[in-house]
Amino acid sequence: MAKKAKQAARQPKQATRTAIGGCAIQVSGVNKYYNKDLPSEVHVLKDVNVCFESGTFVSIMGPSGSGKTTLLDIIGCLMKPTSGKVFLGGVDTSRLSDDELAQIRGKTIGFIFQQYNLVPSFTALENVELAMRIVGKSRPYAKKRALELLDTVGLSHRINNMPSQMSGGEQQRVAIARALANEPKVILGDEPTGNLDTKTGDKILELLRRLNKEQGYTVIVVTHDKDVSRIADKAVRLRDGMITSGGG
Amino acid sequence: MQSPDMCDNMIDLAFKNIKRQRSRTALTAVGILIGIAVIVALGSFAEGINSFFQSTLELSAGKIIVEQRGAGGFQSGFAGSDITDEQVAAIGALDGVKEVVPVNMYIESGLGFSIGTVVIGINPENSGIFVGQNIGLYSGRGLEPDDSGAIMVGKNFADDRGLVVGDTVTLKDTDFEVIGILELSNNANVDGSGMITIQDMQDLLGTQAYQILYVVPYDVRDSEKIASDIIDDDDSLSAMTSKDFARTASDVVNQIRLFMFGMGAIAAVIGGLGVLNTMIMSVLERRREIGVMKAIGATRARVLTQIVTESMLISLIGGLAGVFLGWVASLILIAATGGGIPATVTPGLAAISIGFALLLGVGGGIYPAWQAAKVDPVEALRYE
Repeated sequence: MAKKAKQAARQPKQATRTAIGGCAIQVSGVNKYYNKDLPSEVHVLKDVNVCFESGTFVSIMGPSGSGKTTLLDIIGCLMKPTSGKVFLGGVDTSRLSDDELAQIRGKTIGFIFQQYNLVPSFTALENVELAMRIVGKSRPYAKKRALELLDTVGLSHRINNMPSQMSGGEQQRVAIARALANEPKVILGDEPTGNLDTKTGDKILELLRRLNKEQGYTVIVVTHDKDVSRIADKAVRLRDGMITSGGG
Repeated sequence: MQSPDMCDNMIDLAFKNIKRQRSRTALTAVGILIGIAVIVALGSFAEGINSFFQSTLELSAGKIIVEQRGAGGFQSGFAGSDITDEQVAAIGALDGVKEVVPVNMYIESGLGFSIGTVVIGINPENSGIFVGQNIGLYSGRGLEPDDSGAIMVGKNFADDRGLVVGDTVTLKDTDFEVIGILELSNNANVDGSGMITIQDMQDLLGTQAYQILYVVPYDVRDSEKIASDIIDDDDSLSAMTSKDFARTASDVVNQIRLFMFGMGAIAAVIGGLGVLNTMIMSVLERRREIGVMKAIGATRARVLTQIVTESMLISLIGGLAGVFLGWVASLILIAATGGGIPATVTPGLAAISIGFALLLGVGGGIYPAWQAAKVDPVEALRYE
């Protein structure tokens, strides 16, 4: 009995759709310092409290240096806060180890980056398969799901193309397909339209909106783009590391 | 413990990743290949020498081998060793000596890729000391004391030359009819040589003297004393017991193995450094990609084992090619010396070489893999 309890405690808890108070992610009293206690100390996030409700499309906005990317990294389990708590599906991720965070990222969070970050020597299909194969899914399963996802994002005709053979918008769509590969609860985007022209950026936003409205994904996007905040359900604004609106 | 799917994914991804820089992968594998090929070629030489010594030891077990001091060894056909009938009689009269068996050898080195020839001249009544009492005939009949112009051959001797009973073997322009082929004995000396009467051999070599004497004691425990008596009685002779022979053989084989170990160690440093350099470069180039992998769910252990798998794969490719090249080198060694240097690539040698290559892969990959595992995904994603 005690052995089973210990084993259960070692397993990272799965994020579930039943979130506390309807929040897919709850940020509570989070502070983040870089180079703490050193002369170059920077207090990037100051007592941040925000609830990202399940099934919503939220934009995080603010000027450069406001801490929005740091906030995204923390809610995406890429880094831990210096103090405070982050609840992802009811689990306090601020206390988990690096490997437990990696496992949560693999199963719960889908990332989309400004620079797409596809593997340049893999095809579109292989890039989407990668997300599943690194968490141990079989080759046949990964291929089948990757084909489905690339069809969802309208890239069935590009499955064997390398990133260098695709436009920026197509690469970002591959990245979105990759983000969806492991059926995440939350999609996080760090300036997903930052490297795209307006028209292509709109298409990407439309795709994200569709995923949010039709398939119920919680989408959180860091952006400077006012078009994003127009289609978002909620805008969280930051200045100098503090929430100025949209918090709580 | 990795699941089968995880192992399959790691190996497949490793193949994909090492194919990204084919030239670099190939050059790194060549570094491993050369080292392994040297180990296999030298190892095959050591194994062959060991095997040769073992088979010779089997034949000489319990006997004392006498030749003229200062004469050439096996490779020269014991040139300069001329033992007379008087010397044979003197040895035969010593205490503890049961019989003295004179033997002459004819050795013909092969040219290029042709097979060398070893033929023993012996009294057929004493042939049991070579052939062994339990080896039967595959075909034909045994050699008899009255035979002239007849040769009895081992199975490999016959097979290598496509001989059957009745065929002719020519030694120094003299023809000998094959009258018998022995069964396979698994002793390289017996299976690979021919046998004619001592009289025919003396005629062939143009001498009435003998090259080697096999002295058979009544009691094997008296071998050392008899050897000592032989030398005391006649200091123009050397006498080696099978124990002496085993000691010498062991020394020779150990020296070859030590040399091989030294070459292997050098190969390890060169090959392993090559792998280390390649993997460090690879991890540096893929820093952002490693950050992305971690961001989308790869744990540190996953990243570490992925990098080590890649380096082991490169080493395995080099190792397999090296074993093949080493095997080819051993064949060239055999051919170039007309079969004088037996070189054998045993399954054990191949397995050890592959294992060593994999070890080099682990050794060269572990540090860069550790560095990759420590990559901070946040820093890596912003890495330019």
